[in-house]
Amino acid sequence: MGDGRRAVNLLMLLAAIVAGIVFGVWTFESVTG
Amino acid sequence: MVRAYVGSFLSLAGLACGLTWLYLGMRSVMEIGGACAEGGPYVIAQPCPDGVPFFMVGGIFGGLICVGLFVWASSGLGGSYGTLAAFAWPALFLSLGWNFAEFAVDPPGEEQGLVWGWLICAVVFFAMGGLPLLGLARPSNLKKMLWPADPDPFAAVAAPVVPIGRAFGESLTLASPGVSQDGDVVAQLERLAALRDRGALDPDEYEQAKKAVLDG
Repeated sequence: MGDGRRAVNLLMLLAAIVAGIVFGVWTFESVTG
Repeated sequence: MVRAYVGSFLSLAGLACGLTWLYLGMRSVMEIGGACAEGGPYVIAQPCPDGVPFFMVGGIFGGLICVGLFVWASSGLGGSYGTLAAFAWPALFLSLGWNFAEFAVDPPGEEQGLVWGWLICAVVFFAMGGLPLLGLARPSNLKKMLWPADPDPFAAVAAPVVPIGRAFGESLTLASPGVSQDGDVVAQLERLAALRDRGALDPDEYEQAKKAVLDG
């Protein structure tokens, strides 16, 4: 596994966490807000 | 590979989403006093805010399912990214502990002063989340999880016999799994030659590994 692929993996994991939080806040606020 | 990326992304996003729902759901319940009810044959004194029961239950079960899916999907990425799922535990307890601490200091409604029950919950939750986090977040652990090293190509085929100590004037040795008996040397050399023929080893690496096998 090269450094490039490690960086892509890491970015993908970070993007997934951010996307999950944003989606969670958005759905929660749109239903309960 | 594409399946591993898509699966890891969606399952980790689902896990983060589940934790977010739990965090926000708990806050909205605490804002109305810390308890609510929905359904059943009884008269309900404090109904739950719209949608919150769904988000709480969905956050718990969705999060658990996503942990399992992430461990499975991330195994296709190489390395040991699946162990990152262990951070869900401290994330859950620290975020909910934060809610307890915030509402204990600044209670909702007309209540004044500290709410000791919630403060005790905050301490317990911080301990349950923080102590495992201390172990998980060691720099060596983080490096292993976030920036995995390549496996040593010679580890399995050409590991030398490792002396582990001397006692009573005799040498104690522990044969590594790769080279356990003299007869294995031929098999090791054949495997190395096969790796070279497949292009997995270049000539220099092949010679280096062969020398390591022959030197035993």
